[in-house]
Amino acid sequence: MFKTLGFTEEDAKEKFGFLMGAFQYGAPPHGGIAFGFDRLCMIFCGEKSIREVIAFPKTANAISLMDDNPSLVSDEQLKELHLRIR
Amino acid sequence: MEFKLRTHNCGELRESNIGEKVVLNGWTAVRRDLGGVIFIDLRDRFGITQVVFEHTFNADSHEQAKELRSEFVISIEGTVRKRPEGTENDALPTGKVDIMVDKLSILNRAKTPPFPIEDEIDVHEELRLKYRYLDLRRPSMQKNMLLRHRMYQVVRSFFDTNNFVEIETPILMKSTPEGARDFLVPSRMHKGKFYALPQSPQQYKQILMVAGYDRYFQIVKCFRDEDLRADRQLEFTQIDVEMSFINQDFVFSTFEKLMKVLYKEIWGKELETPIPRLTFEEAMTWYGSDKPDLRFDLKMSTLNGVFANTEFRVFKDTIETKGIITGLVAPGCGDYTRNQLDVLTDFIKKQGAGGLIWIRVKEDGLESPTMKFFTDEEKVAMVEELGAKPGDLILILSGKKYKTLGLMGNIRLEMSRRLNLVTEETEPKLLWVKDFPLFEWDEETNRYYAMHHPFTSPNMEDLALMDTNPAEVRAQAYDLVLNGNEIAGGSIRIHDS
Repeated sequence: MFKTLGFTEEDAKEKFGFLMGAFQYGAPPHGGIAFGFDRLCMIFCGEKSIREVIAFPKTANAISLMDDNPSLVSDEQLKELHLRIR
Repeated sequence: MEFKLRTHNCGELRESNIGEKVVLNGWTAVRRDLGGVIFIDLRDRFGITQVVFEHTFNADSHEQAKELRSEFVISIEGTVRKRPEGTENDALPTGKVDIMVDKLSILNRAKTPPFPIEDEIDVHEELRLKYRYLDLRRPSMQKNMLLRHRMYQVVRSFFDTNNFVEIETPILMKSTPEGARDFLVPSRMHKGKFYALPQSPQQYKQILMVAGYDRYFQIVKCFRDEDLRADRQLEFTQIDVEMSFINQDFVFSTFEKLMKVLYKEIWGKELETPIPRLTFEEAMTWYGSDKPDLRFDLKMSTLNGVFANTEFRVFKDTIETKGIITGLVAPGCGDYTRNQLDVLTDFIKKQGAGGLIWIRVKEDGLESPTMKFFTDEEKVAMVEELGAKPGDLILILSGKKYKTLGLMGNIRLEMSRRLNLVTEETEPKLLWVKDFPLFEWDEETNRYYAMHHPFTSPNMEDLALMDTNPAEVRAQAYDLVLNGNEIAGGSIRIHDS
């Protein structure tokens, strides 16, 4: 599988190593599913946009207009996190 | 500000309460001042109750009520009475009664809201989002939030009943750059290192299977740092599930049961199960989409057989290069004008189609500039294959297989809008799409990508193709599709190395 995806063994180990490690200790056959809950609610509410079923959504520009988010942070915060804005 | 706890909420009082002394708290919705008497619609999230300030009944509170404006927060004490004959409001559950007010306390004043707190408002969404607290006060939004709450409860109770365990997985996890862009969180304690917010708890849930939890679920926030085209959010909520010792059919029947409960509890509808299961190949060939909207028919037909020996160069090339010729009948659209057809052609050319062949089906034959390229046998076979009738419009696209099918799928949706095939009354349509390709070839980077994720198991009968023809390998991957929306997706995983 990883071969077809063009991963080297190292790549695969770096990205999924802990999972592959875990699989060596008795992994049962398994499978799953994930529901997009917002879209499910949208349809059940008969709405046209998921923003109508999310209490505090962001705009298409990825901004929250109510609390003006994202926002700048202080230099102290950046320094603590070892970050510099270029 | 002192105030009394309410005895009832604003949606609660009925004729059986007539004569009772009550206390209600809420917001001033509508105020009508008729001089000697002031009516207020008092609103909370449970409903609306009319309260009455009458000069002759209580002069002080009537005087005070003159001050009230939209969205003032008040508390009233009074007596429930039967509304006078002819003034009942059947639209309200409380509409047979109102309250004669003895005492009014204004708990808080309010600035005039930038839009009215009612269902039908005509304002820009940005204003609604800026004043979201007022927007969320509107009954229609409260209805949505309550329905969402109802859905959490139904979903949790379903999983609990079926032996699932709810387990929280970390929000600060390891970055795995496969898939969309990660949100990164810089570590203060480990200079230069980062956590990532989960795009999904994929690996943790598989770890939980190794750990023996057998059936896991979580209603969980996930994050993707991508451009927000097409109604997406940076953070979104997933019902995340993983199960051990199961197969694909078991997954299908389990989640058909969940959908059955949701249909019943939320819509009061009966969902017939099992629901249809289409392969990816069928969904693409018939509906031009891997999330087909089956609320309407408009089924596409492949015409490669009809034109197997064609001399028409466009079709001949398509067949030689293993492309597809796909046709769609737009019922009753045979009277489309040249202008309407040009608009439709532009619509699909903008999305990358080379051109659109259209044919008007008349009583006495076919009408189209392309007709001179078709033999009589081809015309007869084509009409039969498509099941076209006089008065219909035939639309044909040809080219690379999945791209062309997808484009015809978009025409299919466009025609459904033009023909108004989906209305409020149209029954919802749920189906599984399965047997997705395991790999997707990326032209730009010249490599295969896992169409779902790299731990998706191939179909066992396709294993031999893994090395020789990866593009043909189908996955044990599936999507649940409701009204043309992908509402869930998953797969059986590879569990041995």
